[in-house]
Amino acid sequence: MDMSQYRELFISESREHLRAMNELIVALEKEAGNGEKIDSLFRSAHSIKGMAASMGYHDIAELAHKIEDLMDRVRKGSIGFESGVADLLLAGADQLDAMILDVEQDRTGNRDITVLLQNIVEYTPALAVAAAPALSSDQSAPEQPASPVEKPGARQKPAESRQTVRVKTEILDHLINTTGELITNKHRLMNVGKEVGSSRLNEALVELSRLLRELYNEVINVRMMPFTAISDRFPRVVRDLAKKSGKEVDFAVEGGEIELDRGILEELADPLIHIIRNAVDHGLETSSERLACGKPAKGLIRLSARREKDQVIIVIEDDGRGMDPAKLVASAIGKGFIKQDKGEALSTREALMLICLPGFSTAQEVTDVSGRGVGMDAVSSTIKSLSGRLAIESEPGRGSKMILKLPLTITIINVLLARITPFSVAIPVTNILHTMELKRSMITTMEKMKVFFLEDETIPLLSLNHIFAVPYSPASSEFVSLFIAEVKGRKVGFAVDRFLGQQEVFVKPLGRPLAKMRGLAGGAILGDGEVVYILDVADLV
Amino acid sequence: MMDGADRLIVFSLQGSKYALYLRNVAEVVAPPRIFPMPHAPHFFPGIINFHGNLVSLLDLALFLTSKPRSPLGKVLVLDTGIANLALWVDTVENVGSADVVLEEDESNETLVEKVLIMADGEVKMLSVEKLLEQLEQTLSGVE
Repeated sequence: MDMSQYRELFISESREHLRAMNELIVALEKEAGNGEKIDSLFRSAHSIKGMAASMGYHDIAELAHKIEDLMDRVRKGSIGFESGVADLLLAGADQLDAMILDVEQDRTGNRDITVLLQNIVEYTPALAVAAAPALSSDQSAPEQPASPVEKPGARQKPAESRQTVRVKTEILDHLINTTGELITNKHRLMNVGKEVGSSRLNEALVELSRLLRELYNEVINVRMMPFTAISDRFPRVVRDLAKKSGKEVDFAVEGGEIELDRGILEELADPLIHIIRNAVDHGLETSSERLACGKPAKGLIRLSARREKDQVIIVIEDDGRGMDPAKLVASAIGKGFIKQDKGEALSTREALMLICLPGFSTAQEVTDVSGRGVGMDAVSSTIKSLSGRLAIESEPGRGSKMILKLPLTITIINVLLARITPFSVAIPVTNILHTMELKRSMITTMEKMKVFFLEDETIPLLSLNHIFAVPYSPASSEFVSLFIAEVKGRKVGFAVDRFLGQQEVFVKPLGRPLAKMRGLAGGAILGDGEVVYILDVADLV
Repeated sequence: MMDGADRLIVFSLQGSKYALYLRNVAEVVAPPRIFPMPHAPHFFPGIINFHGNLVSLLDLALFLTSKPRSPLGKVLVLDTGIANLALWVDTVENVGSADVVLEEDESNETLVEKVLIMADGEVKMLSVEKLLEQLEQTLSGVE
């Protein structure tokens, strides 16, 4: 039988099982007696073994089998789930992951895993006394309660799988594109309808509008995935890092059930991992240092996600050593990133954002975990590319907080439309702090820059006409339309000809080669067929 | 060597003939409504709406030779799987199979993959990938 058509399915299902396994292993290290998790882990290994065997990948099946055997020993109580077991299982899971990648890239059969297999088969618990008490007390612990699913039925999940289907992401993307175009075409029909003036046509169009709106909402929902889709791998990352750097870390995730657009989630994984790495590597002190300053030995890292209207707010905070804005400024001046007087004029917020400068890193030595100076720069630009914002708060000795604000979806965003003749542009609402009509008389010049005052702040005023090298519209009114955005930690005002209103637009990528153009984050097609450019304001300056 | 099954689309620009693999071209259209872009180099008159996709329009004459293109002309929209790019050219000559290629020659022009000798003259085979690379380089450098 030709198994190649099942290859993709094997790869994606095995990867899902491996992700579950990683999560379970890290969780079991903290609660070794959790019978349900032990069973789950056993089942995942068992599933991979079965699938691999039927596909003819015998080396994968063998490794999975040995892992299954090890888990069986834990299940039967002959060994406890201690850190030696966890290490072996994680090594096994990593090896399985590599072997599945081999399958995907068509280069199977090149790995020698005899040593690993031997270690797993011959594993005996450490004779240290510490293992024994943990074993006996956990064996007498009751089964974990509060599972909504009944225990006997929890063995397999056939009921759930009947209610869900697996869909390729390309199909979802295609669906959303087509839906977006249907809506644009509906607008065209409505425009024609106005000319024709037929009430029957208009009634039908109203109904069409309603149906399309429904379809659109459903399709958008299909793209939403829970935050856990990326956050469930973080406990493993923290565990490995903590071990490597010899620190003790307590890591918790809140709000894992919050749903985000899958496109945003995919982009967020690396930046979040980098921020977490920084927290473990640089933020947290060693246990002895912590005890010396009156903190608990275990460092705390908390990752939380919550929704606020049409935004998602993700916060990563630690209770480590924090950052000293003065030191950051000194370092930036010393490295030639900014001049002395500019550096001294920076606010605390702006000083903390210095860590996002390309090449900036105050780490004394570059550890192989982080500190190479590329990280926060890449994090900051990824967040910008998602039309989001990054804010940093920190207190020396108390800890740091990274706050990410992101729109709910990248496919449809709320924008403010503005005219800078001959262009129509769209600015993502998430990038805008305020809009206002400013009296021309309130604009003054300071150090050759136009500025104005808002409450007690001096805000520089730039003109998009000037940035785009197009003529100013005649100064007919006494008011200037402008919006205020945050650029590199500072508030900046941008003047436009006039605002056209706020609406939702369906974002279209610019593709090759225009994606390389600075200052543009994509485009959108309005209902009347007009193309507007979505500005990446920070990139324009 | 070209595969006899390869089909080519031949177009002319300022008296010279160029070719692309037909499979890289989605459609040939009359110049549609163009939406100018802020900050764009002069050889990008703007963006067009191609079946709901944003496709940048490249004035190929201006880009290759710095001489303006003949008025009107035709627009070759490339396969959106490769790029969001359309080429504004003078005329589209024909679509033919590679069977009619008599000879192939190397070219020292960077964007030309090879020179095809056909019955009625020389045709320069454009490299879409090199064109994209050069455009991207130019755009990242432009303020």
